[in-house]
Amino acid sequence: MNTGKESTIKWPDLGDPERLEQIIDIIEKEGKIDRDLIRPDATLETLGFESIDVVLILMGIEDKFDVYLPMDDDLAAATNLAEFVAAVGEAAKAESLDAQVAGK
Amino acid sequence: MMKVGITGMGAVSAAGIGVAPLWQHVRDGVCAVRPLDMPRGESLRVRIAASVPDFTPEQHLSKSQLMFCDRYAQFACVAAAEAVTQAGLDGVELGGPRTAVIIGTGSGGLNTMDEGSYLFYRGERSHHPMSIPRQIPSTGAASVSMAYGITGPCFSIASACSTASQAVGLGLQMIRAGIVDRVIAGGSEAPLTPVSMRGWELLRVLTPDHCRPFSKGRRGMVVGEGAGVFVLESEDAMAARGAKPLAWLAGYGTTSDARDMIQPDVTGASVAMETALADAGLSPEDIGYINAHGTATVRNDINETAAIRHVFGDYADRLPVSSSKAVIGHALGAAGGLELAVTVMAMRESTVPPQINFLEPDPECNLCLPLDGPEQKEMRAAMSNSFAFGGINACLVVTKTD
Repeated sequence: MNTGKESTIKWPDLGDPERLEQIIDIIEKEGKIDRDLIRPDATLETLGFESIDVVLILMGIEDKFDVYLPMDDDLAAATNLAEFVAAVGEAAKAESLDAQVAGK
Repeated sequence: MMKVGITGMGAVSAAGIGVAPLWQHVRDGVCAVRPLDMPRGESLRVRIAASVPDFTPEQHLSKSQLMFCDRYAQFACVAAAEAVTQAGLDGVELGGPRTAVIIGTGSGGLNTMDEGSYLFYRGERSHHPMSIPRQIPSTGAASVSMAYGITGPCFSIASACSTASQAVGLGLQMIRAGIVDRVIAGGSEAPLTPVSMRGWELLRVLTPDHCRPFSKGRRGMVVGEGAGVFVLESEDAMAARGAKPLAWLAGYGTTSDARDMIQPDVTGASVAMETALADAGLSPEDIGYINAHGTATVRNDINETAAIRHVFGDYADRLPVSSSKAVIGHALGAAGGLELAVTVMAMRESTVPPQINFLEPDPECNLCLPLDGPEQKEMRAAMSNSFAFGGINACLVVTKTD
């Protein structure tokens, strides 16, 4: 994993290292980008992601973790991959789908 | 310029059948969102909707109408009947070439298409014989024209979530232009099919739990359904039969962002509001309440707040704004109709409906939100906003009758 050695921005702690790897796998596959470019400080803009790429990545994460990811403040505000992974990783680990749907 | 009045209103919504339950729910802040259980919808991740409860079409429609009308067109017929009854128009006055029907829909007969596709692809031949007319987006309008013998212009408008507001606005313009004397105008929608709901999930604009317009922590909208339909009449036509309007339909503004299919735009929304105000001959301070588009998506609510701030300036600090979508969901092509009915009722009853489901303020949605229940307020004019995918914006202004 490339941890972005020239930047102070780190990947978020998702509690489970495997979950981060799984999310990066999905970003690579659905975003159709070189894995070396998937760094925590990489911005969605510099990666050339368009909204459709983000949608495909989110779909991949939903299917992998069986969750629904609404566009909330954190996800909407994410500008780099660290923030993006933090936003989706939080949702992916926090709630099972049933708990999510049952409402809070 | 010929003044145009609203003489009748009709609604079908998650609150039930009629403007009365719609207004009661919105005024009292009673959320009408309910669990969504659809056959073949087991894999859906979002399981709530603002569906119309206990709707039995056989109670409202003739055998012929039932044959040709998809659920969306059924809603249109029921809402139109309420509006016509309230307007006090008998068939003779309403029928003929001087009346138009403009009832839009975002998607037309989705239930018919869904059912037909499912059966056909399963290899079954028991397709509804009238599936084509049932799925056509103008069948709602055509059914209403047939019900009352209306032989003037009859068509549907499809502009996603601005559909009903554009239909009403165009009706206003047609009467002013002298093309017709009366218009039955509005929108209807029945979008609750499993495939459609999956599509909404993928757009990522749905909340899995509560619709919280303008609140911190909002996560999106709830899909709704229903119809909002109005009888619009010229001042002369009303005078000729001694009718009094419920409200004047005073202004309409519509714009296209011409930018992005999904992301909203402050300028497009602002200019729609400014155009509607200018059309009504009003200044911003004349507006006493805005029924917002307020979908509770992160982006819409920020954008709409910025647009309201741009148009109303510091007056927005004390101009009450609320979104009825927390109560009746987002009824898409019907939304602008249902919300115009709410806007008219708010003005007539001098009552600002509350903003429910609010958690805490979002600095980017710094509007004057009525959070403590309905508020008494005299107003001489009110505004209803609709902003649609495709960047299509529509804004209506109503003014009080004497």
